[in-house]
Parts: sequence; structure tokens; C-alpha cells
Amino acid sequence: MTAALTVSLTGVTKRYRGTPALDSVDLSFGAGITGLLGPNGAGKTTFLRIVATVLAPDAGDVRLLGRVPETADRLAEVRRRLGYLPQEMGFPRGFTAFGFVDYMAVLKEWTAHAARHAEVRRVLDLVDLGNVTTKRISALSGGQRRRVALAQALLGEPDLLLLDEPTTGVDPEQRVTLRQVLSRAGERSTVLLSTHQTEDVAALCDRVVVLDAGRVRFDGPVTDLVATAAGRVWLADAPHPAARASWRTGTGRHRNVGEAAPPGAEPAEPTLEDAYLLLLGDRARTTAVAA
Amino acid sequence: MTAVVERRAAPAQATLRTLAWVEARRYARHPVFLLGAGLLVWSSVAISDDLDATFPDFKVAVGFLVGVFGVLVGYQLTRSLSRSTDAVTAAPADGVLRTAALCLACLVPGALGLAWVGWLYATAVLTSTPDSAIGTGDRIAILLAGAVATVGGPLVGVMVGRWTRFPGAGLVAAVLLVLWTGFSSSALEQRASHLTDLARLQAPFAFWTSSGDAHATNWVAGGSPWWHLAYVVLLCGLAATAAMVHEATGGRRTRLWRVLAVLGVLALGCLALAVAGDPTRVPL
Amino acid sequence: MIPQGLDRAVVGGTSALGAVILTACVVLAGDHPPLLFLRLGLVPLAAAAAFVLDDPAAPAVDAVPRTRRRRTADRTVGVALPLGVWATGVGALELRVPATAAAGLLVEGAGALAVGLALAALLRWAGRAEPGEIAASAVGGTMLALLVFDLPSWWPAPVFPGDDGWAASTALWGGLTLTAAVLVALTSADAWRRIPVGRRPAHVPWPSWRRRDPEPGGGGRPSPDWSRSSWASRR
Repeated sequence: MTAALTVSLTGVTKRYRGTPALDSVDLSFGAGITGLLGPNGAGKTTFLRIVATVLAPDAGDVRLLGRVPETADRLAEVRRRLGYLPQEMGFPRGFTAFGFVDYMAVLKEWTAHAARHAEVRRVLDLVDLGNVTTKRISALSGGQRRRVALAQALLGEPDLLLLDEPTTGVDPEQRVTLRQVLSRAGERSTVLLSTHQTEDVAALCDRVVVLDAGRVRFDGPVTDLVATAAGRVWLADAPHPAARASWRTGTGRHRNVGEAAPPGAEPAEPTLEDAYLLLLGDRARTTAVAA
Repeated sequence: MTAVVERRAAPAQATLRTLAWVEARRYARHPVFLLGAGLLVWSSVAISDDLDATFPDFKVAVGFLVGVFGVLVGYQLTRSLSRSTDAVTAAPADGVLRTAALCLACLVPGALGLAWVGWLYATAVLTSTPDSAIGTGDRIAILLAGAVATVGGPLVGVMVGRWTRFPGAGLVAAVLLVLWTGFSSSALEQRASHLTDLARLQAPFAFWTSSGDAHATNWVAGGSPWWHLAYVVLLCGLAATAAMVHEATGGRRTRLWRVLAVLGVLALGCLALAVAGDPTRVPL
Repeated sequence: MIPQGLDRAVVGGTSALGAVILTACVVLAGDHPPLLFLRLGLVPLAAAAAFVLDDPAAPAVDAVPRTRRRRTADRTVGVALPLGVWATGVGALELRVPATAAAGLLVEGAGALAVGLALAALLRWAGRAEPGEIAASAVGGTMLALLVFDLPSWWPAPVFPGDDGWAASTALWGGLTLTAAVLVALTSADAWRRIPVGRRPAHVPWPSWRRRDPEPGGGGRPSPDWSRSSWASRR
């Protein structure tokens, strides 16, 4: 990678009560959008919190935006160019959408009144909340609140944008809007996107990192991960005993994901989800009607 | 095809019992309750050497450490599920049942309160505390009112937790309770009359003896401790009913309002009877 | 200017309750100051101070460039309201009842508020985004208990003196105020600060930069042995 590295983690470890949430992780990122996938408890949120400088690792080195944030000044420099959307976030009582994002803008050192308000309006328009700026957050839907939280992360067009489950509760139409916002951001910033929605990763990301039990299982282009599932996904009238995972689709046929398609099987185009399942070795057999 | 296990709806009483047991365990493990209980045990050691004729009013220890602290516990237990409101509200056990379970859990501090006043009474008898003008029956009534306070405080906390979402409301309720008691007990410094007895006894926690220094003569105030006990028990019922009213809907809400009204009238009646007695103060 | 993010309803509401109680004390005061009720009015004011640091958006706020110390300083301005209520109440009471030990009461009030704030700061440092409820309950409960019960005879200085003991009490509250201020300052350090391993709880975020290479801006290498020596070598 010839482009400048925005984020560089070397040997980063984080333990909670002896259990490693991250285990000697080495990762580097430059401009572009990287998806972070992994099962629950894989360490995705811990990873993002460390990169967001909200949580410190127990061991290892973290270098952000060309700096090691070892002093308060360097930390502040990094945070000025960073936007972070946590997985879970509350809102202070009584705030409107505009008021809360304005509050965050003040904390991000937007001191000039007019410029700050213009920026707040810009990010709220970006997430399509321009018509509810004066509404109290408590009166907004869950998806709208999530977009308010995303808006504060977009303040100042950060060079490093960290998003933990940004599309939770967001309707499909808004999800498309957010994809547009994030893809534009990814053109000049480093965007790390942690999500369970493989379709978001497939749609947006150049690169995907799969974490499992605190370790990196895969790190590379999305197409490379999908390619690992080639020839291993097939459709059949029934779940196949050799399949790692099998579920009944909306067409009535069963999508089987396994080691190798049996002879005569009708191959299916693999998706990122298939590749992810194969990577993690999911052996659970599910029967569900996929929407 | 997946077999769906059919489950019969559990009777409300069984659910209430189970829920009450769960809440009671939560209460018993609450750090504020444990702290209050620990301080009560510690203070009891000091109290046991200091009993005199005014010993029934030593119930202030259990009334405060278990009752007033219980306001905080009751409030926090009630508000603890506020973040899961949607999931909880969608459950078959409705708000009235859940509130009733919380109210029943307030019997945990009540049991401690009862045990403690029993201990105090037994200690007074065994250590030959000086005879006083307070009859045995009245002494028991005064002490039992202290035990009732250990139930009433948490019930106030539950009621406040149901009716408000204001952070710190539990502490505010505790302060107001102490204020109410303090103002009411200042009536002991006024001349004896039915009016001062009313001012004193309308509080959920009443003192009956003077707290003079060693040179002053202690006395017991007028009024009926037994009717006052009935009054504070009815106040507990009012608090519990008011908490359940908040969660009830439709006909059930109407019925609970009626119960509230009846309890209120009864409480006023008991208060009137408590005050009706001779207001003369009797030296101990 | 009321700092943004402060829960005005809670801080304002509890301060208002304190103001009502203090007003009643001033109006109904006789020859002597009604110290018990005055101090009951201090309880909601101390609770107000405890709620000043609550921030439900802490997961995002912790990643902003404005340091936690600066944000704490901004929020601490909110303590001016309950402190102002207390000072006004004590001042008015002194005018009404000249025997009031106003100086001692002012120090007492400042101390109670400082303790509430310090406890909230400590809980926030331990990872709680909204420490107010617990801090207020702890401080308020303790104050109520101290108002109702006498301290053991072995306790050297009265916490809430009556006719005498003001000098010792003022010294006690002054010390508590200073201690609380130091605690607030220490616990307001940004979580991203190096502290030697072994002197902090596991769940408290510490940076434990591994740097074998003393060159500034160097990448560093992971090492199996994280020890205090690297902290010393950094200074």
C-alpha cells in the first residue's frame, strides 16, 4: 500500500478480566472504506473504541493520523480529525436534534457561532434530518436517533471516521442515503465500518477485516473473501447434509453453503455472507425463510 | 415443521408470588439496604446500653436506617427497569402486578424492622429499663409504628418511582419525608393541645416522648399510639395503592381510585381518633 | 452561562427544592437559626452538584478533542447554582438571625457540594456515564443520617455543629472541600493517560504504550513484558 497509513495498530491487545477481547492484532488502514465483520464478542467494538482513543490497549502500539497520541496535545490533535459513532449512545434530556449536534460541535471546538450552525445544518441534511432539526430527540424514532448520532460523527469532515453499527434501525431507503454519504467520505478519509450487515460491507467497502475471538481471521479485498466461497454455494430442493449452513429461501429452494457442491448441484453466485459463514466455520443448520 | 410448545397462562397469583420473590431477593441484596441494616446493627450496640424510659422512640434508628434509606431502595428498584420499558410492558404480567410484587418485596425491610423492635423491647425488659408512664400496650404500639415505617419508606419509594421519572426523585422524597417528620415533631416543643397532637401525629413517623437533658423531666405526649399505628398502616396502603393506580387502566384503575378514597377516609378517621385522646403530657 | 449538556431540569429542580427549604428557614426563623432544617435544605443542593457531570452521550463525547478536564471545568460551572442558593440562604438567615455562624455554614455547604461532585467524578472515572443518581443518593443519604444521628464519641470533630464545635467543623469541611477538589482534578484526567500497570483496576482504560524505542513518533514493538520501566523511560 503506497498511500499514507491513517491507522496503524501493532500487537494491540486488550483483555477484560483475563479474556482477550483483542489478541495481538496487527492492522493498518489508509484512505477508503474498510468493513469490520465478526460474530458477537469478536472484538469489533473494542477495536473501534481503541482507535477512537476512548479505550486504551493493554499492550501494543497505536498510531493514528501520523501520530502516536501519547500526550494530551497529540491526543487532541488526533481527536480533532476523528469522528466516532459508538454502538450505543444516549442523549441528554431535552435536546433537539440540532441542539445535540451543536453541543457535540462545541466539544469539537467549533467556536464560531455562524460556522458551527452552518456545519450542524450541513451534517443533519446529509443524514436527511434537515426537516426535524427542532424536534426533541425523545420524539424521534430509533432510526432517526441513530442518524442524529451519525451526524455528530460527520462533523468537520473527519479524516478518520469510525462507525459502529451505523445502520441499526435505519430503513432501507435511508440506508441507501447513508451509503452515498459514506462512499463520498471514503474517497478522501479512512472509514472503518463495523457492522453485522454484510450487504453494507459488500456495497461499500473495498476491504474487509474479519475478527473472531479477538484475532484477525481475514484481511483483504472484499472480492478475495467472496472468491473463497466460489464453488461452495449451491441451490437444492432440500438442505444438504454436507452443508455447513442451509436455509430455505423465498423461492422455496434451499441455499446450501458447504465445503464443496455435490455433483450435479446447481451452483449459486456466492455472496459475502456465504464467504463469511464459511470462514467462521458455522456448522449450524438453519431452516428459515429468507426474506 | 417445528412443534410449538403450548404454554398455559399462569394464574396471576402464581406470577405475583414468583415476581414478589424475585423482587424480595433484589431488595435484600441492594447495597443501600445492606448498608442501612449494617448501620442499624452497629447502632444497636450503642443503644442497648442507653435505654431509658423514652426507649420506644429509639425506633427512630430503624425508621431512618431502614425506612428512609428504603425510600432510595424502593425508588431504584422501581426505576431499574426503565431502560427496558418496551420489553417489560409487552410482557403478560402487567404493570399493576409488577407494582404489587414490588410492594410485597417491601416486607423484607418490614421483617427486619419487626425483628429489631422486638429485640429492642426484649432488651428493655431484660435490662430492667426504668418504669415509665407509657403502658405496655402503648409501648408496643409505638414500637410497631417504627416497624411499619420500615415498610412505608420503601413503599413511598415505589410510589415515587412509578409516578416520576425525575433522576434524584428518590432522594428528594427521602428529604421531604424527613422534613415532614422534623416539622411535625417540633410540635413537641409547643404546649400540649389537640392541635399540637394533630400536627405531630399526622406525620408518618411520630415521636412520643420529650428529648430533654438529664435535668429535665421527660414526658410522654398525648394521643393514642394504637390509632396512630392504624393510621400509618393505612398510609402504607395508600402508598401501595397509589403506585398501582399509575399502572392500571380502565375499570381496574377506577376500582383502585375507589380503594384509594376509602383508605384515605379511613386514615383520616384513624388520625382523628388518635388525636381525640387526652392531650395532657404525662411525666415519665 | 449554563454549560451545554448539563441536565438543567434535574440540577435546577433540586436546587429549587433547596431554595424553598432555605426560604422557609429564613421566614420561620426565631431567635436561633433552625440548623437542622437549614441542613436538610443542603441535601438537595448537594444532590444537584452530584448530577452536574451526568452525560448520557459519554461514549461519543469521550472521543472529542476537548479534554475531559476541560469538560469537567465547564460542567463545574453548574455547581454555581446550588452554591449560590446556599450562600444566599445563609446570608439571608444571618441578616434575620445575627447569631448564625454564617462563615462556618458557607464552608459546610461548599464542602457538601464538593463531596457530591467528587463522588460523581469518581464514579465517572470508573466508567459510569451518568453517576448522578448514585452519587446523590450516597451523599444525600449520608447527610441525612448525620443529621438524624449523633456521631460516635470517638469522632474528633462535629460534622454538623450546633452551638459549639464550629472551628473544628469548619476545619473538617475545609479539608473535605480541598480533598474533593483534588479528587475531581485527578479523576478528570483523560482516560488515555499512562499509569503504571498494577495500580489500577482492570476495567479502567489505561494506555499502556509499549515503547522500546525512545525516539519520538516511533512505531514501537509489542513486548511480552509490560512493566513500569517503560513509563519511567518515557518521562
